[in-house]
Amino acid sequence: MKGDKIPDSDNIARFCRPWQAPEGEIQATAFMLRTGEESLSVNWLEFLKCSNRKNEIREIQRIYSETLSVSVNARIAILNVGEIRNIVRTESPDNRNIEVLHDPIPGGDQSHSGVYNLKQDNEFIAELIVEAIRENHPARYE
Amino acid sequence: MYEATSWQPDIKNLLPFEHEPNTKPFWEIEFDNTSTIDHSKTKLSIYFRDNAFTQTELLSTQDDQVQALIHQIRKSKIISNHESIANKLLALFNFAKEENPTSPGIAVDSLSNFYDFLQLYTNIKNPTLSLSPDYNNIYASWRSKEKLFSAHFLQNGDIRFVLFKPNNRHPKRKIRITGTATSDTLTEITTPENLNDWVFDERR
Repeated sequence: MKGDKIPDSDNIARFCRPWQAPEGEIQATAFMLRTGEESLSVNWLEFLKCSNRKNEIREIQRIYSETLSVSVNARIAILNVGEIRNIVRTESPDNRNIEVLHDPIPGGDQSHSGVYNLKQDNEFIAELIVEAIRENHPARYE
Repeated sequence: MYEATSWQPDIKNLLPFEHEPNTKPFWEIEFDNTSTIDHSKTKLSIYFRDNAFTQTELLSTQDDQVQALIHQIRKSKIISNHESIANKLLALFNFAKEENPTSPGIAVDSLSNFYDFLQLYTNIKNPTLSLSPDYNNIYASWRSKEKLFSAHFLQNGDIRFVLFKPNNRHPKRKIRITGTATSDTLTEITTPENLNDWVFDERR
């Protein structure tokens, strides 16, 4: 349901464009907000109710293929909610309390969620999130 | 004949800094060779030839300016890893253009800021380059084991940097610094000895 907090034990996927993941290596620019964006768009993996990570990635790739232009060089970053919240809270200068909230798109992507309480072009927090990347997968549905 | 209104990644026809008599550049950037940068004087003359027998042409679009600067980096004798950096920049430019042909690809003022940085720090190691989501600014990172130095090259000449490194006195903690500087003051803030080995090549 919209606005629900995603549990710390759950995981999210972030779509990384080719210029945010040169040579497949995901960079901090993948976790920076654009002007006017309130949250960083992610997908809630456990919401998909797949049996394993491989199937979750497959489903995320399918969702991307329907909603985004996915280049062969685009990547998926897998993050654990508790880990990113913890590293940002303990290591950021202002002990930032980021929140990961369910934000389904009406009539569209129901696993869509958002990382809230980021600021635009916050390199420091984006680099902290990079430290918490658990997995890196191709984003293209083959 | 070059189509100034369309985007073309091919840069083989660009001849930066080649001055021919009786021609006037459309726009100018002049690069300062001193150890400090005065951005108010930043000018570059770029000329363009479409074949061996015709006169130079003017570059007017931002895409042309970006490609000319990349070419300038590629041709530089003093910038370390100049070929590799130019290739990375061109790849980023092409990625951004493929997804959105009307986007700037790379912000020319950010690239110019990065070029100033490369000219000042000629012993720089090969960075990982990416683009910021909003304005397509250059974002350069150097990683080595537990260390990270990243620099976001803003269009106003500033650099926003992040430095993460182990805290040798407290092995379970990390030193984490962020701030804003210009290229010529960066090493006054983040002392060079903190960046040697993984950002600067001490042998050069």
